[in-house]
Amino acid sequence: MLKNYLLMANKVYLRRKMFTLINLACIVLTLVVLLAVTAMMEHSFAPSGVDVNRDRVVTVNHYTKMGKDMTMSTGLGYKLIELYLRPIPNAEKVSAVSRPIQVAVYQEDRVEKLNMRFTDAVFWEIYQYRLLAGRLFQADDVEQGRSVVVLNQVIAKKLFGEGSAIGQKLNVRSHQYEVIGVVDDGQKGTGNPEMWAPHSTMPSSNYKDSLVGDFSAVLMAKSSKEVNALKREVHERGKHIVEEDPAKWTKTLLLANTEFDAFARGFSSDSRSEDSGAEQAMGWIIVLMFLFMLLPALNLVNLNLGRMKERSAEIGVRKAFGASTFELVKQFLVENVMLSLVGCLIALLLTHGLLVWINHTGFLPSLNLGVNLSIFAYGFVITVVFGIVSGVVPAWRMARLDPVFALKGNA
Amino acid sequence: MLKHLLKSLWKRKGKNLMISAEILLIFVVIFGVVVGFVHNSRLYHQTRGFDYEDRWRVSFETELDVLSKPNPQLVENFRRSLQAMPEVESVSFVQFGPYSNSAFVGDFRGTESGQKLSTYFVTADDASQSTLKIPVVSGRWFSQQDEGASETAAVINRRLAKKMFGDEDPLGKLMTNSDMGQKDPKFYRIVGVIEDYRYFGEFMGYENIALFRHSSISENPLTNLIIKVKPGTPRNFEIKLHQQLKLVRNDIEYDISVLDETRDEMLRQKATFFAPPIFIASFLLLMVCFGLFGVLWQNVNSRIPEIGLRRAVGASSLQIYSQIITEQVLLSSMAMVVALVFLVQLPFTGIFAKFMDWSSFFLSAGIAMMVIYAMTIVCSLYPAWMASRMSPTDALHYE
Repeated sequence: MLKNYLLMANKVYLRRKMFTLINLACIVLTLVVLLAVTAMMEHSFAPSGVDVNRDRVVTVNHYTKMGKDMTMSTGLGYKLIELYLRPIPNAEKVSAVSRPIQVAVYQEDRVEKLNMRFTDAVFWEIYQYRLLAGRLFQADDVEQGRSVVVLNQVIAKKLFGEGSAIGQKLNVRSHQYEVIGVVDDGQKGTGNPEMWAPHSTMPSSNYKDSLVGDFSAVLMAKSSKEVNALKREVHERGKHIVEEDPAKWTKTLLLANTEFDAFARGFSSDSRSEDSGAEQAMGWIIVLMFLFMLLPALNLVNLNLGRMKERSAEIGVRKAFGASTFELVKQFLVENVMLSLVGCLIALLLTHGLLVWINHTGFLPSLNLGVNLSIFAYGFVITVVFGIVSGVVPAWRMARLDPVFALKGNA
Repeated sequence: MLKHLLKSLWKRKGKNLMISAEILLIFVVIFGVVVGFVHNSRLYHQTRGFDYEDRWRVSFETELDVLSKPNPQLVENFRRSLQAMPEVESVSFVQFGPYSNSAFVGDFRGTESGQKLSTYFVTADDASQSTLKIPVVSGRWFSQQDEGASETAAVINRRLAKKMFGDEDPLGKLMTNSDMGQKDPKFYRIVGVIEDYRYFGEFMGYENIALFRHSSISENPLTNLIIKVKPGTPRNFEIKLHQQLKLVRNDIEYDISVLDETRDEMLRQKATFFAPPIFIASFLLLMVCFGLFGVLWQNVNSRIPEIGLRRAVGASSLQIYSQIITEQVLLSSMAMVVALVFLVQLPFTGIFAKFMDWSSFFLSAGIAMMVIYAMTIVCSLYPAWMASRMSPTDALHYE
């Protein structure tokens, strides 16, 4: 039966190539956009590559203190992380990472600009950078304040070409560093030249005595189930930070965010609420995707109704020979979903091309976006939903044609 | 004829309503995008008020106290040391260099007029005008002769002069940042008027700008050097420059950038900002195209008898052709008129006065209309062609 349906569909779709083409274009275009959005979201928020622990990592970027008539929001100081965040029992690992500093490295007659971050050895346990050569710095290096750096491949290539970067000396901000490791951050892939150094080599030596500074804290929960408990705990401890001047600063606040929380906070009006609005943001994204499908779906409904006229004779004959309404609805839906699936295949190819192109232009800070199995699965689900949504109304109307009129060709 | 067309449109109002709503929506979206475009392109073509080619910026990044208060000796050392380099044409100190994104904004008023004006103010030295080639409209740039005066010399842009002093000559007048009767007010004497100094870059809005002379009595330390180099200076001059700066003070970190590159980065960010709206608008436009196509096709299919009849009584295929297209153009026009009834409220109420005046409203509406008409005509071509090819005998046999 299905074979017959497909044969029939084939005939119908080839009859009016122009409209089939438009039909397909409509489907493909919509799916490409939806798939690209899905791929980007997956890349940004799902655990993968360097961020293999993403589902159980939260970051604390800001330390906010509120006084009577002013509010101050700064980065975290090292002392704050040591005193209030490291001791949290549900945090399996806690790392302090400074915000990236733009530095210029002067090698012989070349200038290279790169982002430098100061951090600790725990950083390498939370983020899984692939080590290409040498080693990463250990707790021991940080304690001793050894001037060592780890480069990413982007900058290593720029500075030392194909030769080995290990053991080379780098002069950064009047400080001599030795390169001990090169990592690949293809999966995290900002595509930016980056390097990491132990925080004990920071230019100011008194950074350990301050509650405010340039650090963010990265905390890893024991499992993804405990992330919410960890967030609450950070928030709770943030309330009880002892300021040097408690009269001036009456309230203190720390907020821990997962990657998606941070994204959702960008849309929320209240930057100080404990709830980041992640659920609402997800809800909005799904609603928007659905709305996005609505216009193309309406168009397809129109196009499909246009075919009704042409097929009225066929419908009439089938009805006269006793096909039920349900039978016909089924047939038209199969036809529509089939066309959608053809569109889906084309869309997957195009999406892949589009993502590769986006990576290539470096327009968005993301490398190695691509179509993988989970995107394929999402795409399949989206397509079937789309096919049914856009097919059900015309199918129903066509199937309910009165056979007498249909045979006369008077739809 | 028009009456006949309107009648046939009215007959199919249910079908037409949906597609009209789609056209209305896409018209508003395109209008919005075009307004943004027009606004930004106008800003881009405004006088920038400085030159950026062959100019380099050095920012001092340090936690040292040396820079927190004026230090004439240090300034002089830097100046002398850099001017000694053969590539360097001139050197100047400014508080915020071009294409920076930090600013000080404060309320200033003329001492004679009480009206407060929100003004961007920047401190700069005597050499900044020649280094950045800031065009002076009237009066002069501040110079050594202002040294020792009781008020700090100031140069303001034309817009501020107009707002603060109306048609009077602003030269020699005083402005202040304090309210009447406040203790210890600061006064600035205006010595010159410039066209503009839009140091955020080409997309900075229409702002009031004042530049104050940096001298031994001003309190803003200057942490940005602007260096004009000879044309054709190679990019790796940065290494030489860095070494030279380190010779002056080894304990300061220098962040060197080329204004050309900073500007490109700014333009790139602007483009990135525009990408999503353009993308969404084009997607919607395509979708409405497809929809229109589908509707017209159905339309033609279900009106076969009518078209056949018209052919039989002697209408040429060209007339059929134009009927289908005119109908659709009429329909699009109606949708757009409805949209404009709403949109015209915007310049009337002045909600978006910052982005849109009447002229840009008409320009944007015109461009958006062009786009919609082009889309309408392109989408009607094929269905109209199908209709015009119908032979009257077949069409009339249709029952």
